[in-house]
Amino acid sequence: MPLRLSPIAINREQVQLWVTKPVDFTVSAVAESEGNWNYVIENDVYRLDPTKADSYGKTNFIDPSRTYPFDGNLATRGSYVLTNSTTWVEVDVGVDMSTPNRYLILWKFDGLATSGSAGYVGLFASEDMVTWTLLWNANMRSIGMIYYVLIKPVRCRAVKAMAYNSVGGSYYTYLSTYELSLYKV
Amino acid sequence: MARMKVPVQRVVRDNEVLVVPQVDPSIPEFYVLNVEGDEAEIEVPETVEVEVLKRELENLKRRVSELEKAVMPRATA
Repeated sequence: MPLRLSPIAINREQVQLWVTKPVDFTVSAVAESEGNWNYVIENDVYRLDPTKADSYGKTNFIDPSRTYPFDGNLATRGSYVLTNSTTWVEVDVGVDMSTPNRYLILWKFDGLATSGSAGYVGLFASEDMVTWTLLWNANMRSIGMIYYVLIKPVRCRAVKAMAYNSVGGSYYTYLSTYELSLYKV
Repeated sequence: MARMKVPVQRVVRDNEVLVVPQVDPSIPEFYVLNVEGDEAEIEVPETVEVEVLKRELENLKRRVSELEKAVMPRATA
């Protein structure tokens, strides 16, 4: 599968690898433009079509009825999924690519936490569906915010979103994914 | 972007193991670059770093103000 970056973003051998010494690139912004992922690496603008992602059309293994994360549309999402768990639990979205590969991961979601609590949302990756490593984490604010996340290529088989709330009880962490795209690199 | 090494916690959950770097809760967002053994390297985005530094600056200003108020009566006594 070819690398779908235009212009060529990086020497593929120098991409940040999982458990190898990295050669850096700096991502200065991630957003969207005309239905495509849009991000900037060292002053070069890259656009990726979400319908060309290797994860496009895949089953959401956290909840197969929630199809928005893999519909190739950056503008659509389902209702919020919420948790009052005080430990990490799966929420909203996960995809199993069946075989481990190196993937560039882009994620757009809306998240928040009940005022007076800290809500944590993380993206985890696994090579074997047993050990899951946190790749990215953010504390949610008390008003809904859209987050764009770009994970430099990592070797994995699956990724999933997890969340928890610092207080629990009547305090919740909310999450709703617009799109989760994995591109084989 | 700022980088730092942090300890890693392994949480056994059902039939899974979660590998979670232990990061100060004052850091609102971070990326995990690498995990080796019981240590992880994380990266804090510049925008977040600015936010954290501003908060630290405000705390330092408050602390200086408190100390000044505490010192002042002794100086004038």
